[in-house]
Amino acid sequence: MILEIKNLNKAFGGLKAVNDVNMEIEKGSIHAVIGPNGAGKTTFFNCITSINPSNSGEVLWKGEDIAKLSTHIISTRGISRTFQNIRLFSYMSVLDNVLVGTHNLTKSFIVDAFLHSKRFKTEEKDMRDFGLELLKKVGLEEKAGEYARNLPYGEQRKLEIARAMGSKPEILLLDEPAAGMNSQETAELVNFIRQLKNEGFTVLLIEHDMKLVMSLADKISVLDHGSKIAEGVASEIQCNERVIEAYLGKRRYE
Amino acid sequence: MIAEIKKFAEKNKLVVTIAVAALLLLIPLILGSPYLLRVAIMICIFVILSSSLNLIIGFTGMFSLAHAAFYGIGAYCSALLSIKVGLPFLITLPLAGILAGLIGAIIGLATLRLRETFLVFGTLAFGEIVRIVIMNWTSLTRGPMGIPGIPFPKIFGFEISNYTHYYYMVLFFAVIVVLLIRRLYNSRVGRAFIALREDETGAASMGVNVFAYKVWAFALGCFFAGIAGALYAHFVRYISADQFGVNESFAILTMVALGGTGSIIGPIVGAVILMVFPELFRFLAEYRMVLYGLILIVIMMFKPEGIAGFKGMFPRDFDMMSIFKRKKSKTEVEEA
Repeated sequence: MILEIKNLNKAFGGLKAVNDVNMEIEKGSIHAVIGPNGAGKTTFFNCITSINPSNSGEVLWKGEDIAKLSTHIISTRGISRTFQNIRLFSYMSVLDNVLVGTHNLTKSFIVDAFLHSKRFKTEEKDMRDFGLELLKKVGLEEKAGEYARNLPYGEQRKLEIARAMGSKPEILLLDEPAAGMNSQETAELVNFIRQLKNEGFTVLLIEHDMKLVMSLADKISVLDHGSKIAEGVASEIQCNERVIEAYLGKRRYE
Repeated sequence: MIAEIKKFAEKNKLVVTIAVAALLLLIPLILGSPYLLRVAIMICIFVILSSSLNLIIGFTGMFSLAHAAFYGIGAYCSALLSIKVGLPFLITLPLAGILAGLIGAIIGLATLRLRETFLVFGTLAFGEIVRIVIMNWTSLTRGPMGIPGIPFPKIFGFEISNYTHYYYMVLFFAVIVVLLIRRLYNSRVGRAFIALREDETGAASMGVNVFAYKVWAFALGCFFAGIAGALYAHFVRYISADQFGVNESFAILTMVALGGTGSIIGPIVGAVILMVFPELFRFLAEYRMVLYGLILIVIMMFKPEGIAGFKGMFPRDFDMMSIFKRKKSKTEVEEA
């Protein structure tokens, strides 16, 4: 178990956005979190990464409780994420976006930059190569010099993944990676996520595209109104009464 | 037009560099009169000030109306150390920067958790506090009487007492500061600063310690302002609190806004224009602040990114100013 969530709670005023959620994410697996709009999926991610720190509960990363750590420290532990409402650095180049992702792999500081020290030069070169390699992986190496804001939507999503991989994480939290992608791009994305799994990454993803989820996920957790209502492999979820109810509503006549 | 100039400069990099360097070096010969040379020296000092403020506003997307206060701290530090302790200029200059940077870091620790509008007021208040403290701490600063008789800088036994020599020295420091900031811009730290400006949450998720980097950017900007202060104090040789008030902060801010936020060349352009302009129109001298106000409003409305910048001075959620802005698509330019 690489990531274990125990009794996680998060409330915004009276609204329980995440309500006593337990989840176990197996190392090297693709774990999907689905649920209707407003089910608390993104808040769940924000709790794990401390962007909206949880009210109570534990987030155990390899046995260590990281629930109270701040966002930038969690990133150094090997947890990296993308955002549903893309949060790229729009007035930075595509490559620079990925380089910000590598922030914690390097150490050079202000004086190194001023003097162009040896450490600065080697780090800068290594990270540039690494960044370009990542861009190649997602197919953006030719756009390395463009402003991130000038990329089409689908490519911005790819760039977010590349940027998240910049910190050499062990787990990737992908928040609706296929949103706004056309069917061909989605197919590429599916292959890409499979490839990530083969390379040993653990992937936790939120997605609305059921076809994508059912074909990719080793395990699926379903959230509704902040609570986990079901968990299992694709076939179990598809015929689960409560899941169908959450998505389609209750049958009026029995 | 700016884009074309930039393109041309990039194509003929070497030629342009040599031409600019030659021009800068020959300025004392071209200008001739000490009065004009004085203006050139002040331009260099203000290039340091606007470039360092740009580090805070343009790179990191914070805001400061206290920049002149740190300029003043540097000036007073260097002046007092050389008069009362008798330290040489080459030691008081870095000490002035370090003191300003340290106080900047402390102020940063206190105020940088504030957001946008509140940060503006926080720094505005600090600027006033510094001025009033200088005004009233008579035992140290002589209060309203100011500090006269600041010695000329001596470097390796060579006294820099005439305008031409002083110009070369200030030019040297201005070039160094601009180059250092440029190097920072293309480094891990600089990228972290810019990432903060673009999206704090995104930057934090990539492992950037948001608060620490904000404090670093602020302190570094203040450090350079302190250096500028020391260069100023030993040039005019008489300093008093009213030279470092909020008006001066607004002047520096206007230079950054006019020249262009977030670019290296922008603050230089702004400093040159706003230092030359009042000299050309002496009769407007009393209306200087009115002019700065007008420039700020016009820039805000029609070209928030400034002449050579590429992003509006005020962050996206800076509501107070957004009322002046037209539709975003019109004001955001495509190319730097």
